[in-house]
Amino acid sequence: MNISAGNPPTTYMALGLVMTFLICLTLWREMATTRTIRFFPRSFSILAFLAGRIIIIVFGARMVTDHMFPPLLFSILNFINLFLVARHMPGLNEEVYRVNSDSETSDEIDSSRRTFHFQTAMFGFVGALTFVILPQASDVAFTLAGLINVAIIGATVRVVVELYKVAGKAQRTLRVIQLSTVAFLTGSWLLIVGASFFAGTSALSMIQGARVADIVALIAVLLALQSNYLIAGFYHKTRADKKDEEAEAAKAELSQLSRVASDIYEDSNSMIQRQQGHSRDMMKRIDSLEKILKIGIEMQRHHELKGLLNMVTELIRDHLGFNTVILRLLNDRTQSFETKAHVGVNSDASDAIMNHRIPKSEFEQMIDPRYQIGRSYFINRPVPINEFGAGQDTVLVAEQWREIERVIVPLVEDDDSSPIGYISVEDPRDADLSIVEAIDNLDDIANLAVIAIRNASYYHEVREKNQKLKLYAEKLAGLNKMKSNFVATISHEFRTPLTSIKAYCETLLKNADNVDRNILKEFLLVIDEESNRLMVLIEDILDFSQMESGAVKFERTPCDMSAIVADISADMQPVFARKNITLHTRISENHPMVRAERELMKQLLTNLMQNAAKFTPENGNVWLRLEDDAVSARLIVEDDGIGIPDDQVAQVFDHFHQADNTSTREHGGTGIGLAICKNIVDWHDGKIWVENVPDRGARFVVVIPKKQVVVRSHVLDLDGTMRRYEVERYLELLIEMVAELMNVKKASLMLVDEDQEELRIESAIGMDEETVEHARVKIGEGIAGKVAAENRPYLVDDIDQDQRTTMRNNDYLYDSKSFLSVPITADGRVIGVINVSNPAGSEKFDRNDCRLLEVFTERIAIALEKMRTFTTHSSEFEDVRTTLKSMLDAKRYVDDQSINILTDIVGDIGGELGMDDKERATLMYVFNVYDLGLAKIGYNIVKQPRALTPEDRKSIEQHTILGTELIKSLDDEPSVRDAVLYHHENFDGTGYPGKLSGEEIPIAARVIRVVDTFRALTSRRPYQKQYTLGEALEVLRHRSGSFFDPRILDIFVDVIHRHSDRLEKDRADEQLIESVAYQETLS
Amino acid sequence: MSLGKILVVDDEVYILHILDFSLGAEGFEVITANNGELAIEKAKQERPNLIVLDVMMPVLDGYETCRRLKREPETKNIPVVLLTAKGRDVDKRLGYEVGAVDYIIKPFSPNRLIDRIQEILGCRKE
Repeated sequence: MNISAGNPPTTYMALGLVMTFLICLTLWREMATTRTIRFFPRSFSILAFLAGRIIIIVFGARMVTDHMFPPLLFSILNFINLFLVARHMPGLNEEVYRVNSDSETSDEIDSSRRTFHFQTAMFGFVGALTFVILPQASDVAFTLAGLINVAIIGATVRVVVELYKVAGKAQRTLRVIQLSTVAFLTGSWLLIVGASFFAGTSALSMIQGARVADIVALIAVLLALQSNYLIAGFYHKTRADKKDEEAEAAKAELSQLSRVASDIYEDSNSMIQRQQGHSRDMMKRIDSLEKILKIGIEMQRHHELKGLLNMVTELIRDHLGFNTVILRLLNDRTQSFETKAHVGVNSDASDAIMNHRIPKSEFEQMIDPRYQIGRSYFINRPVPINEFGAGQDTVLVAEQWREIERVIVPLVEDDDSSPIGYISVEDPRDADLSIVEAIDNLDDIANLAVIAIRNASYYHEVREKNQKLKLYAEKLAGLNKMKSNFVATISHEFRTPLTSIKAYCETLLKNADNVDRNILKEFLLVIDEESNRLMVLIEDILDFSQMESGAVKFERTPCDMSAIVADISADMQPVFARKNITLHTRISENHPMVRAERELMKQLLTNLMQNAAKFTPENGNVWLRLEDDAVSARLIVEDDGIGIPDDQVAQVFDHFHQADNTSTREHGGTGIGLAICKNIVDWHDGKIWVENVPDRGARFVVVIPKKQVVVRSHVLDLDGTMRRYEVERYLELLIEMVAELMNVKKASLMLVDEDQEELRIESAIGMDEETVEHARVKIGEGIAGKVAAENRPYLVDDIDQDQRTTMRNNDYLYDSKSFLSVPITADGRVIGVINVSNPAGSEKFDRNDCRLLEVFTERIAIALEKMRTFTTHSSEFEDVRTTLKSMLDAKRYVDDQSINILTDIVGDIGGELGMDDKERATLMYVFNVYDLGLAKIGYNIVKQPRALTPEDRKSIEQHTILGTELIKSLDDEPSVRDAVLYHHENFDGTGYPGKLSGEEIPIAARVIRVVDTFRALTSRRPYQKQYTLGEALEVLRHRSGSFFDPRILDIFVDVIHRHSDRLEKDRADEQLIESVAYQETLS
Repeated sequence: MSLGKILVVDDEVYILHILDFSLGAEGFEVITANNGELAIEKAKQERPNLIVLDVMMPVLDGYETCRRLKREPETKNIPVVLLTAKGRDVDKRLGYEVGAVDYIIKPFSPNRLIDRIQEILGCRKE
């Protein structure tokens, strides 16, 4: 090496290239090992170091000579450079250092690193100072340069020591490299120092020597770095090999483990799957059980059978997922299964299904034990049993539902009993539905349904029993009243003769010594007479108590009145024979049936006959008649005895009085017999009165309503028993009123059952219970159904002549040729139909009847509406009931056949007055009910023969107001109310209650005033003379202008002439009956 | 010489008869009526000293008759003895309410009635 050759740049360049190569190599290694973000700061410091060194080396010589300051700057840069090298040079960085260090803790590593860094930097700094010092070359400078070189050598040595330390831990080959590097460095330095020493005293050569040393040292550092990499590489490789081995072992172990694990996994997986399957099944079962439980709970809540059955079918549809469900119950009577509820059947088929009855035998054929699963049976399966072997009891059933047409689940109370019904299901929504599961559920539901059905029927039974009890309690209450009345009056009756006996005896005793013989005799006679009276009383009481014990059950049953009358008249013959009285009996051949207590009826008749026998003189006559009326049986007992004094007619039953006190002596009776009669009649809701027949004796009339009302609330939702009872009585009143108003023997009130789209009979007169129970008329079918569908009335005056007679399929509603059906509407919607037939008065119905029924039907609609809101407005409901009751009483009291003719007459008057159909019909309706106020007050007050007291008058005048109050509950039409209110107004303003006059009085009221007076005059009433038509008209004419509107009176007279034939015939009929009775007397 | 005029009202002829006899024997002047309306009429005409009035009568019962008698100025001071088969307390109370001085229950003792009448009339004299 020619270091003194004066060509330093070339030398520098060569060394620089070596260094650059080494730096690049370092850089490459670094990149290869780190590849992280830390590469950049390291790489940067290496590049900076490279750049710094190149600048120092290439331009150092020139700069040294120019100035002092740039070399100082370079010295500083050199220091920084070396520091950075120490800090960041890869070979000396933390990782390598740690590998080479024995130190364990990071603190120690840090401190030794810091020391090394600082030392290296200090050597570098001192080396760099040479550049500063050299320009002032002197002896001192020499010395300093030598010191600096020593320092650089020191730095190099320090590096070499460090490298040696590192090499000591490296592998053998590496150690050789390391050691040779150290040797080379040491050698080169020694060479440089020696050379510079021997080169002479030239400062320049000293500097050059120092520079060379510097560069060589740097190269040595870089080489050391390279060797460090190698060391680190070996180290890492060894470690990696070891790790690989470990990893291999671990891998083997792991694979072993994983095999075990996968075995376990597989096992547990299959277990889990099985478990999951189980729990899915369980969940499903729980779900379905839960559903069924819910269904069961819901079912048990339902007490109404019909609702319950509907619910069962709906629940099966909703919860078990069958689209079609049909429930049939066995009818014990017909031994066939009747459809009670169904879902999922389209409306066309619905009728057919509802009407289709399956005889028990057919059902038994249907259920084949071979097709049984659980309790259920498959029907129409395509998988026949034989495929699975004959003789097998249970059949393998297809897994898929589609192969089965339907399943039948019998409803049985327990396994041994025969089914009370069955449920048939088909068409599941989910075709994959598990059959066994579905059947499980169906069986469960069937069990629950049976319990619920049984509960419902028990409930029904209990409710029915409750009702019976209630009725019984009511009956008992009535009976009690009858008894306490009886006891109260009997005690009076006892006290009266006892009083006489006691008074006469005491008086006799007091005056025993000086009593006149005649007086004595007279007193004794009185005592005797009164004792007899007591005896008769006791007999009566015995009768009564006999009646009460034993035979009398106080239960109303259908009785043939004709039979009773025939029996009693035969029994009574000896009694009449004793006085040689002739008994004339005339019994209607219609055999009127009444709902009555047979024994009480007998007692009633016996008492009346005894009474007649008592008051008829020897060789006299007694007439007994039984007449049949539309809605009642009428019993008339007449005698030709002394009659009843007019002033006692009203009290004869009420006060236990006999006709005259004096009569007692003659006839030896008491009169509790009649009181008992009154009680009996009252108990049957009938009427009894007595009237005097001029020139003959007394006539007792008993009217017993037939009460053939059957009430079945099919459609109305009647929950509470209390409510049911009330409502049924109400329906009874409604239909009775219809029958009375229309004077028919047969009437029915049907309501629309919207669910079933059919009409059911809610209450009826003249129909048997069976019919009422079962009759159903589809909307649109039959006459009633057509009426409901078309919302217009049907009037058929003769079915044989009628063109529309294809529809006779519900003729149980009518047995006469003429009949009438009128729709009941509410808010324009048909809610029911009223049917009437078998007119009692005439052959057939006419337009007037139709209109009249329509008008009344409007009221029925109001009444029904009030009934529906019964729970919320019970007082209104009560009002309507009172109104209906009063109307009925008013109708029953008047009760002459002429009412029908007069109603027609009223209608005709309306026509003449220019009223339209509706107004006329309303007028006719009012004419039938206007006296309801009087019925409420009681007719007794008007019947009194004596002059009316002001009090009487006042209460009578109240009746129009009361009537208006009553009718208000049923009628919101002002014209009706006004007609009722003002029907006692006189044309001249002298009437009541408003003292209106002339045209102020509503026209309907004026018409009624005329016709009412006419009716009063011409009817047979016990307390007044019966006028002939002519006489009556004369009386009316006399009052024209004062009582009556002259114009209306004129019209009335005209109209009455038109109807006089009918009226006369009516009267003639009445008289005929009487004259026949007379004729019989004579024969 | 009459001890006083007594109006007896009853619808039972025998009772009228025996009271007429017994009271007459005791020296009373007896007038009779067989119903309430007639009784009021006779009371107004005859102004009796005392009225014996049966309760259970048709048309106008004893209570109502008594009430009306007590309303009329001419008759309101005449003492009324009610005679009745109704013996319950409530009936008695009703009797006193309408203004009767005594209430005798049937069957009654004529002697006791006479005693009561004498007592009432005697008290009044004193």
